[in-house]
Amino acid sequence: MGPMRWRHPSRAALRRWLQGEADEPTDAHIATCERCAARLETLAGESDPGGSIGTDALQGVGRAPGLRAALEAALAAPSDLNVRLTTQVHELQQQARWQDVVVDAVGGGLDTLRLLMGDKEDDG
Amino acid sequence: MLRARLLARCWAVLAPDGVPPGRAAGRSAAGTAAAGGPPDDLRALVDEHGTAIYRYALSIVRDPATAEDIAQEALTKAWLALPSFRGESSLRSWLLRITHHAAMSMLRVRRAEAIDPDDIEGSSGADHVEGAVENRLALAQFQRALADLDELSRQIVVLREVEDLPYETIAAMLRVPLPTVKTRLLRARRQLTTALEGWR
Ligand SMILES: [Zn+2]
Repeated sequence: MGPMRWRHPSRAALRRWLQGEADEPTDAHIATCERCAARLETLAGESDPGGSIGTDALQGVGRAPGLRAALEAALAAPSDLNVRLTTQVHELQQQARWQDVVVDAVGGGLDTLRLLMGDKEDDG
Repeated sequence: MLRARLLARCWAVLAPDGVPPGRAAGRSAAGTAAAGGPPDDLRALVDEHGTAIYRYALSIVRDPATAEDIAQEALTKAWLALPSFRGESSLRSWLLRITHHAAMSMLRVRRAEAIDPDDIEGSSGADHVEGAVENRLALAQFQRALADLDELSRQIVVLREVEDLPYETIAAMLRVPLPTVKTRLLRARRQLTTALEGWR
C-alpha cells in the first residue's frame, strides 16, 4: 500500500515478476496497472519470441504439445465421469422431489391434526 | 383433498421423465428418457459440458474426488436453474460461473484440510491421455508446474487457454481487475511452456 504501489516497477522488477519471483509491492501494482500489463507483454515477447504470447507457440516444436492439449491432459477427466455425473445429478434431483413430498405429507398431516383437534390457537 | 394432492405429488416423483418443474412444457419428444433413467436432456447437458466443468473444478481444488463433487453440485444447480437461463452469456460460461461458486464454497469448507499437491498425480485422468501427450514423465512435470501456480493463475489459464473465454468475461467471473487476468496469464503461460520443454 501507499504511494510506492503507484510507481511503475523497473524492467528488471518486471522480468523478475515474470519469472515468478514476485515481491509484494510489484505484485500489487501489476494486478491493476494496464500500462505495466502492456510492458510485461512486450518484455515476455522479447525474451521468449513467440513462446509466451501465442497459444499454440509450441505446436509443431518437436513432439511438444500445445499448451491447451497439455492442460487438457493434465486435467483430464476419468472416462466414466459423465455417466456417473448424469446418474448422480438425476438421483439428487429425485431425492429433492421426494423431500418435497415428505414435507407436503408432514405439513398436510399437521393441518389435518389441527382441524381434528379443533385447534384453538388462532382464536386468541 | 390432501390424499389427492399427495397422490399427484407421488405420481410426479415416480414419473419416468425426472424433468425439473417448468421444463416439461417446452420439451421435445427427444427429451424423453427410458423409464426411470435420467432424461436425455440431462445426458446431453452432461456430455456437452461435464468434462469442462470437472476440468475447471480440478484446476481450482487439485483433487479429483473433490472436483467430481463440485461438478456434481454445479450440474445439479445448473439443471434446476436451466429454465431461468436467459442466454445473456454463453451456456458454457454460465455453467463455469456456477462451478466457480460451487468450488469456492467447497474450498471455504475444506480450507482447513490441506490437500497435498502431489495427490493430483496419477490419480486424475492421466491414464486416458492419448496422442502427442502420452509421455507420462513429461505430463507429471507439467502437472507439477501447474500445481506450482497460484490458484487464481490456474483458473485464469484454464478459462483462457482451454475454454477460450474473453479476458473481460474471466475478469468479471473471478472478480479481479483486467490487468490481473492479462499479467497472470502471461506469467502462467511462460511457466507452463517452460515445463512443456520436457516433451521434446
Ligand atoms: Zn504500472
